[in-house]
Amino acid sequence: MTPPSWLQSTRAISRVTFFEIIRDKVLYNIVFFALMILGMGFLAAQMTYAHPERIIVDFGIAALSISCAVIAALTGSSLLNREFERRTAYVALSHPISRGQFLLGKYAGLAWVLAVNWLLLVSAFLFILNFTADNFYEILTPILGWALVFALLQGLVLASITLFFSTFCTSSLTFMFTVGIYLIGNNISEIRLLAAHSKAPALNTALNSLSSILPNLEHFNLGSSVTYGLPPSPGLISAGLFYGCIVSVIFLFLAGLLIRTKEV
Amino acid sequence: MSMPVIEVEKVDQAFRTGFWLKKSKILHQVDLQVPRGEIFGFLGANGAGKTTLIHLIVGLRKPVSGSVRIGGKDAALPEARTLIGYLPERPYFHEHLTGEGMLRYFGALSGLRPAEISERIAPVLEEVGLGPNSTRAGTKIPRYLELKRYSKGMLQRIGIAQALLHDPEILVLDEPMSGLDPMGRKEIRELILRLSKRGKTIFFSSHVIPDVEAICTRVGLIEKGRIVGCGSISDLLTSKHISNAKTSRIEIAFAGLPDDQARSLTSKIPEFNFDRKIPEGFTGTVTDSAALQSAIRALINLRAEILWITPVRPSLEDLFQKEGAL
Repeated sequence: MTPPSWLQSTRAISRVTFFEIIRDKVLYNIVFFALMILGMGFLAAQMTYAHPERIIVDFGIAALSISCAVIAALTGSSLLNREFERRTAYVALSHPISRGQFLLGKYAGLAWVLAVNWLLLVSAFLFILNFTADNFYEILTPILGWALVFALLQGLVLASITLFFSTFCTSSLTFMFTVGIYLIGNNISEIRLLAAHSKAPALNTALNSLSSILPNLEHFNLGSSVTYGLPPSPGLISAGLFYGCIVSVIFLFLAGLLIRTKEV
Repeated sequence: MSMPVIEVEKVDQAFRTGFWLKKSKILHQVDLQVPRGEIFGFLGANGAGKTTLIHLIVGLRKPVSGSVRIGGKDAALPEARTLIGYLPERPYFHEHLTGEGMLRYFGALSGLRPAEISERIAPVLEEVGLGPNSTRAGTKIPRYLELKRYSKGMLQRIGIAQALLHDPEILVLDEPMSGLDPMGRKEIRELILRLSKRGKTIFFSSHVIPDVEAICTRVGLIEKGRIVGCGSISDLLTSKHISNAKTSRIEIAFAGLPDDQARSLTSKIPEFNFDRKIPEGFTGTVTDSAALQSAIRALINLRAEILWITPVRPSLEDLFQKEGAL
């Protein structure tokens, strides 16, 4: 008998993880909240004279981005800790798989949940947009498509960050750190601006270091490009995709190193 | 003794505990060998270090010092774990999975292909008593039932089923009979014996001595993280570990004497100990055949009726009590 391949173990663990998360009531609250934001966008659009579809697009992208981020942070933060606290990981890890394989399987399961949530919300978003806007097909620009894809990509990056923190933090700390990174990461240019305006050299250095160390999630925010109808720049898109993949891989790699030392 | 498949050599294990993460030593220079095809019972009180050692054997932890090898391979390597089927102390499984879903999950983690898993599920469930033939009429077949609906006994059985699914050479069972009713214990004992006959090496821990005594060929005793005895049951029972008083006791049951006279025999007959009152009369013990002769003579002189004379075989419990007192 040979140990399972990475693909085989990832498939098995991600399947169990997917159904485990799907049964979690928290997930439905997040999805409901996101649908509410979409609904609010629809209502706000009814009260607008010009370009109501822009309101729906802004609300739609925000709903997608927030729900993907909250799912990654909230369900991801308890994913590993729950396995170790309930000791369900013990039997899995007594099989011929490495802890890295186990971690990747958990990440893949969470990624599937994010993808399903994304599909559901994108469908709802397009339905509302089609219902509201007269020029539906004109609004469906490539940049809007990329903005929606990048909302999912940001969720995947946050999922890897969540798993990284959960290898050495409690669930609540992991959630707080991930939300912190989400908030700071989406305001990196503001922090750099603050550093530039700061008169205290220590504060300047601290803010610049912070903005250099933490992942810059602004790469995944194409909201303003969508609002102004700018065409997608291939360089910007490929840089965003590459940045998302590389940040996820780095955090998963670090999580893989740390989980090896985690005591059961 | 045949080639050992589980080798534990000079293993120390410690955990960091408390705010200052102070190291607390759990295992001290543990040495243990389990030969192929043997049923090895691992006895110890709660907190003695049984589960910690089992976690080292199944590769869940690495020892601070020393080595643990399974089939000659380092226990921490996935290749070593292909040889092992493990049942944890309490079967912690994902409750949302059905019995079959859980077996498919762990089958895939063992490296089995989906077709092989499908082939193995039915015979393994039948083996542990969860097959359709063992299910009561009108109830759902366990393989299609969610694990949260399983009873304690069913969870224990499905836990053994997942350990058996990839047909491992070694089975490591942590307290496999805990929480089971007498019938369930008997069935698990029979299952372990059947598996042993098929050549499996079985390492199981327990703090219930009769369970170990009934089926094990060899036992290891652990006390406060140290191995205090290891060998075949007969060797351990005849070894110097047990005091003479325990090894050569002979029980005499008698009747026909008033209560106070029976109780006063301890002072009248040399080396005779009054034991207890039983429905038929009384029992007492002597330690050797000379004392037995004089006790019989004295009882006959007192016109007592001798009911039976039985040599008392020392039990593992006697040994365990002796070692526990160390």
